[in-house]
Amino acid sequence: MTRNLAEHTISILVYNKPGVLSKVMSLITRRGFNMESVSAEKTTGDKTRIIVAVRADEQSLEQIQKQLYKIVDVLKVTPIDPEHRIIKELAFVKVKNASGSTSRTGNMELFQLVAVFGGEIVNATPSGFVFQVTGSRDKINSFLSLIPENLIVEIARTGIVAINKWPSTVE
Amino acid sequence: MTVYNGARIVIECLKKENVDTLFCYPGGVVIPIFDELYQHGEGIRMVQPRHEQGGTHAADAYARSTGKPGVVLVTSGPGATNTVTGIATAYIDSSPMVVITGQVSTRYVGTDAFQEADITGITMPITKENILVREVEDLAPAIKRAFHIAVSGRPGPVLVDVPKDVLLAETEFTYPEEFSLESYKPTYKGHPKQISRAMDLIAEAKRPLILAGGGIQISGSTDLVARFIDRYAIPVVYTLMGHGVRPSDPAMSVGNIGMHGTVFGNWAVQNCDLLIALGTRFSDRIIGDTVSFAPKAKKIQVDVDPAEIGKSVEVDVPIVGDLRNVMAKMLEMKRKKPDTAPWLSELQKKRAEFPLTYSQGDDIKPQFLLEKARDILPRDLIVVTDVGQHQMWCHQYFDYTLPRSFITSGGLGTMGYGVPAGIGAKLGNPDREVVVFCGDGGFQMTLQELITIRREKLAVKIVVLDNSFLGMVRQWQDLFHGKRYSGVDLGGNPDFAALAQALGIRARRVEKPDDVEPALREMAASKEAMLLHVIISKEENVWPMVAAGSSLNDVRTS
Repeated sequence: MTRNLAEHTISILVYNKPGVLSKVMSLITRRGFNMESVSAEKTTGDKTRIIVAVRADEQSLEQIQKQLYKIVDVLKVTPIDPEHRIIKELAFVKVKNASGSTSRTGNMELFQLVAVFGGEIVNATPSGFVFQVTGSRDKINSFLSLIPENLIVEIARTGIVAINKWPSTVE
Repeated sequence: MTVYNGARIVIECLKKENVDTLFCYPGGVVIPIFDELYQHGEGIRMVQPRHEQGGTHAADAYARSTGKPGVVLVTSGPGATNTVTGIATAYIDSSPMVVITGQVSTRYVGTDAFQEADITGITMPITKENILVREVEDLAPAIKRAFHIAVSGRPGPVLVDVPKDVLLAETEFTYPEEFSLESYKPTYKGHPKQISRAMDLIAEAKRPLILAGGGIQISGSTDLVARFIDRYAIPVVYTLMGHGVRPSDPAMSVGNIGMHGTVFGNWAVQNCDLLIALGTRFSDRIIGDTVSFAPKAKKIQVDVDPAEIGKSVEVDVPIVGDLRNVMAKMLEMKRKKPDTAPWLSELQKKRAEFPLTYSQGDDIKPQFLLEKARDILPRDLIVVTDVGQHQMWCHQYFDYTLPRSFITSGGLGTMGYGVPAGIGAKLGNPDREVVVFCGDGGFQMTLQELITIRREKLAVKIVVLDNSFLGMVRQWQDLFHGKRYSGVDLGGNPDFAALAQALGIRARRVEKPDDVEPALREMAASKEAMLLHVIISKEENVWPMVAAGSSLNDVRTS
C-alpha cells in the first residue's frame, strides 16, 4: 500500500513547563512520524507555542493530533490549513568569500541572488559573509540550492513558524 | 499554620487521598519518608515486596481489583527503574497508579550522582503524566495532580519524582481541595446526537453484537451493559479484558474474540451486521487482520479516550465519553427492540457445533485442571494469572460473572505478573478467594514474592501449571517454526512445592489426574496461603487459534 505522505504543519499550544517540549517531540517520533521541522517559543503568559512540520497521511495526521492531546500540558492542537496560512522560516547562511576561490560563482552573483530572494547580508568580512533569507521552506531550499556547495560553510535555520489567517484563527 | 518537611507532606497527602495500602521499598534518598511513616504513618499499611517490580505489580492489581489507585513508593536510581515493567504493564491496561520515586538532591540532578536515574525521562512513554518536583511548595499540588490524573478519564499510572532536598525542605502544608487544569478535561458525556444515531442503528440491526472491552469494568458499567443486553436481546463477545458482564440469560454470552477466542465468538464477529464496541481499543490480538475484520458490520465505538476511536478500525458512529454515562443514556432512549431471534438461534447452533474440547490422557491436561478449579472454587473467586498458555486457558475455562475478578496482564503480556498481582488483589479484597494461576516460566520470574505473601499473612492461593516449557513460545515454534524448540525447555525445574515450603508457604505437588480434585479441595479449604505445583502434560497447545495478523475467519482448532 503506498501512502501519500504530504507535509503537514501543526501548531501546538502548551503550558510552558519543563519537559513539555521533550514530551511532544518524543511522542511524535515514538508514534512513527517523520518530523521535518520544529520551532518553539513562549507566547503569552505561561504558554508556549510549538510549530512542527511532519510527513503523514490524512489518517495519521488525525491520530497524531489525538495523541498530542493526551499530553496533560497540551492545551490546543491546530492543523495549519495549507490554503489559508502564513508561513515563514528564517535561515542564516555562512559563505566563503568567492573571490580567490575556484568557484565559478563570484561575490556579485551571490549578492544578486540574495537580492533576488529578498534577503540581507547581515555580516561581511574579507573571509566571507552571512546571508539572511526568510520565507517558505521551498523558497529557502531553492536559495540554498543555488549557492555552490563548496562556498557554504554553515547553515542555521529556525524551522518554520506558521499561523492560520483570519478568520480561522489558531486560538 | 502547619509547617512540615517534604517527607511528611508526602505522608499527609496520602492520608488525604485515603490511601490504606502503600507498596514501598526503602533506599537512600527516601529514608526521610520512611522516617515519617514510622512516626506518622497510622492508617497506612506498609507492604514491602522483595523487589520493586513485585511491589508495582501488586499495586496495579490492587487498583484493578478495587478501582482505587495503587500507590508505590521507591527510592531513586535502581529502585525507580525496577518499577518500569510494572508501570508499563499498568499503562497499557489503563490501571490507575501513583508511583512516588525518590530522586537525588536537585543540585546533583544531571551529574550522574550515586543512584541517579532520569526516571521522568525513562517513563515518559509509559505514564499518563510524570512530574519532577523541584520545590517543596510544589509537592502537595503535584501529588494532588497525580491522583486526579491517575483515576480520571482513561485511568493510568502517574509518576512523581521527589529529590531528597525537597523531602527535607519545609513549608506550610495545605492540600489542594480541587484540581483543575484548562488543558486536561476528559470528555465524560457522550454526544447525544451520536448516541441517538447509535440507537437508530441498533433498532434496525438484524445481527447486532456487543464487543465487551476492559473499559466496561473500569467505568463500573457491567450492570448497565447487562441490562442493555437483556432489554435488546443483543449477544455479547468478550475480549481478554472484557470479562465480568453478566446477562440474565447466559446464552447471550457467545464466548471470546481474538487469537484464542472461541470459534463461535469469532464467527459471531465476522458475521454480525452491527458491532457495538464498548471500551475496547481493538488490539491486534483481537482483530487479527484489519481489512477482513467484521466485514459485514457497521461499527459503533464508545471510548473515553478519543485517541482510541478509529485508531485501528474505522467506525461509523464514534462516541467519546465515559461508558457509564453513555450506557445510561442509551438505556434512557426508548427504541424498538430489534428482532434478533433468528441470529441468536444461529449462534446457538454454532456454539453447539464448536465447543471447547480437549482429549484426556494419563497426564494432567491443563484444561481438565481448570474445569475442576471452576467447579470447586467459589463463584465469587478472583482469578489472577501470569502470561502465556495458562492465561488463555483461564480466559476460556472460567465463567466470569463479576467485574474486576479476572486480573491479567493483557496489553503488555508481562511474565512475572501473577504472584505479585495476587498480593495486590488479596490486599484489596481480603474477604474474597484470590487464586493465582501461573506457568512455570513466569512463576520463576517473581517467586520471591511468596516471602511477601507469608510475611503479610495473606491467604493467596497459587496454582503453578508446570509443563517444563515456556509453553506459548513452544506452541508458536511447534506451529510456525518446524518444532525447533529453541530456548524454551525449562527441564530441571525445581520442586516448587518444596521451594514454597522453604519460604514458609504450605504446598503440595500434584502429578496424577486423580489427585487434582482432592488437591484443589484442600487448597480451597485452606485458611492460609497454599501452593499447588501441578505437573501438566508437556506439549498441550491452546486451541482455537488465529495466527497473528490473520483473518478471524481463519480459526484453527488443531
